[in-house]
Amino acid sequence: MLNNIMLKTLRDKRKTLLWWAVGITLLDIWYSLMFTSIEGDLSGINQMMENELIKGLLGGAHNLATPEGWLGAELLPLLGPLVFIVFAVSFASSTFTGQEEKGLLNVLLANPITRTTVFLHKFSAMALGTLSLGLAFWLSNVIGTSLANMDISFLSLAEVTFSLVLLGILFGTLTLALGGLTGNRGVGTGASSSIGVVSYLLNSMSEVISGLKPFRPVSVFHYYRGGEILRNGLSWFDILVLLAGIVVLFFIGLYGFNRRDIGV
Amino acid sequence: MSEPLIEVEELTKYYGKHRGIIDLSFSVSEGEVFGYLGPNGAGKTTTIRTILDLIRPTDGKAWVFGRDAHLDGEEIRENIGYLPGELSLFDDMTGVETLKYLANIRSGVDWDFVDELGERLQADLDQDMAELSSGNKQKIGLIQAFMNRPSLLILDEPTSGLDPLMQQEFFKLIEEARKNGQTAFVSSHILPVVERLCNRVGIIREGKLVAVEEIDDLKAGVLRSLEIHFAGAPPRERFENLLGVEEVVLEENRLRCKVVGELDDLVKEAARYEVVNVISHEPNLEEIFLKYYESEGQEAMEGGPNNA
Ligand SMILES: Nc1ncnc2c1ncn2[C@@H]1O[C@H](COP(=O)(O)OP(=O)(O)OP(=O)(O)O)[C@@H](O)[C@H]1O
Ligand SMILES: [Mg+2]
Repeated sequence: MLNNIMLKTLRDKRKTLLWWAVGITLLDIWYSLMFTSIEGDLSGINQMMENELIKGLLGGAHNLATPEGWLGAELLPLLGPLVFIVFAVSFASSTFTGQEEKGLLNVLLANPITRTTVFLHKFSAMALGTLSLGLAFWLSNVIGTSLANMDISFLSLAEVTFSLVLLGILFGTLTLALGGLTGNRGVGTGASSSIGVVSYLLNSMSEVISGLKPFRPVSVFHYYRGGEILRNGLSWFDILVLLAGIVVLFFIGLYGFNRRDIGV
Repeated sequence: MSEPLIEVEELTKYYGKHRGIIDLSFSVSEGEVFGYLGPNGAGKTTTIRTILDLIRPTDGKAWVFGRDAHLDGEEIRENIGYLPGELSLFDDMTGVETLKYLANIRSGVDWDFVDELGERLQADLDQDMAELSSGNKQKIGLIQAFMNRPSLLILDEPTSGLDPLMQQEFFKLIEEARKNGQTAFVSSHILPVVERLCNRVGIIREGKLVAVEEIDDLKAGVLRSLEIHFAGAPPRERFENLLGVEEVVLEENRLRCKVVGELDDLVKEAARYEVVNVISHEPNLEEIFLKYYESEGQEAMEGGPNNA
C-alpha cells in the first residue's frame, strides 16, 4: 500500500471506506426488507404521494408496491446520492487539501514528482474509493432484493449504481478542483456541499414549480435519474454529461494546483 | 569557478501584502556548506520553499544545478534532500513505513545507509509518528533527507528539537556529506550552529540579504559575552587593555566582558590565574545584525558588501 501516492491515499482512508461500506450495506438490506413488511399496506404512503411536493422530493415516485417504485422512492433519489456525494467530497477534501493544511504535501512535493502526478493520484484514489463503495452498494442491493424476493435484475441495479458512482465522483472532483484552485479545505467542502444541495432542490422542485423547469438541465441531478434507470435503463447521454463534467473539473483543478503556492 | 549549484537572482516573494523576501541574490557553489542565518520571520523558509518550487516567486528567479527551479523542478528534485522547517509526517505511519513510502517515490535509497543513520541518530523507526516527540520526529525527517545521498541537501532548521548529543551527530553527518562531495544549504537562527557547520554564511533580516560572508570573517566580527570565575580576584586592569576585549566588569571573583573575534589574548591572560569556570553566552544575533546594518550604508558607498 506504500508503492505510490494513489495506493497510499487509499490506505489513509481504508478504515473510513470500510465503515461506509458496512453502513451502506446495512442500509440497503434493511431498506429492501422494509418492502416485505409493508407490501400489503401501502395505501397510506401512496396517498401521501398524491402530494406533488413530496412526490417531487422523493424522485417522482411511481407505484410503491413494485420493486422499482419502492427502490426509486427514497433510496435511489435521496439516500444514495447523499451517501455517495458526502463520501466522495469528504474523501477528496481530507486526502487533498486536508493533507496540505497539515503540511503533509511539503515532504511529498519535494520529491522528484510533478504536481500533475500528485493530482492525478489523488483523483484516482478518490475515484477508486467511490467505486469500491459502489461495489458494496450494488452487492448489498443484490442481497437485499433477493432476500426480499423483489423481482429486479442485477444488471439494472448495476446500472443505477454506476450512475451513482459517477455522481459521487463528479462531486469529489468538484472538491478537488476547488482545492486545486484555492488550497482551502473549507472552500472545497463548503462549496461542493452547497452546490449539491442547490442542485438537488432545483431538480426536485422543478417537478412541482413549472417556472423552474427551464433551469433543470443546469442541475447535476438532472443527469442522475435514480429509479427511472431501473425502469428504462441508462441514458448514455446522461452518462456522457457526468463524465464530461468530471473531465472538465479535473483539468480545472489540475490547472489551479499547478499554478499556486503550496501550504501558505 | 564551476557553475553554482544554487543561484538566486532578485528573488522576491510577497504573500498578498505581507513581505516574504525582497530582492535576494546569492549563489551557492558545489561542495560548500552554506549557512543561511536570520531571526524568526526573516524569510529563510520562504527562500527555501521558493527554491524547491513549492511556492512561486513574485519576482526574480532561482536556478538549481544550472536549471530553472520552476520549469525543471522534477529533475532538480531527483538530487535534493529536503528537511522542511515545520516537519509534518503521517501520524499513523511508523518511521520505517514513512521512509519506505518516500523511497518508493524517489530513487537511489541505500537501506544499509538508512539503518546506519537510524542507529547513529538513535531514531525510533517502529513507533507511529503520532507517538514520537518532536525531536524524535525530526530524526526521521533528517534520515529521509540524507537517505539517497543527494548531491544537494536543503535543511531548514535541522537542529531544532535535537538534544546536544544528537546535534553533534548531525554535525558529523554534514561533515561526512561535505567530504563526500555533497553540498548543503542550511538555515538556522542559531549562530553557533552555523559557525560550526558552514564555510560561508548568508545573513538575512526582514526579508533582505544583509551580507554574505566567509565564516572566518563572520567569526572575526562576532561579539561574545564571556564570564570567567577565578579562585581569587584577578587584577582588573590586566584585562582592560586586551585586544578586542570590552566592557570588563569584575565582581568579586567573577570577570565579565565582551570579546570581538579571537579569544586568544583573553584566554592566555586568564590562564595566569586559577580559573574555576568559564561560561560563554551565545552571541546575540541582533548585535551581529546591528553591525551589518551600521556598515551597510558605508559599504554601499565603497562599492557594496563583500558578496562572493
Ligand atoms: N503563508 C504566509 N502568509 C503570509 N505571510 C507569510 C506566510 N509565510 C510567511 N510569511 C511571512 O513571511 C516572512 C518570512 O517568513 P519565513 O517563514 O520565511 O521566515 P523564517 O526566516 O523561516 O522564520 P523562522 O525562523 O521563524 O522559521 C514573515 O514575516 C512571515 O510573516
Ligand atoms: Mg522558517
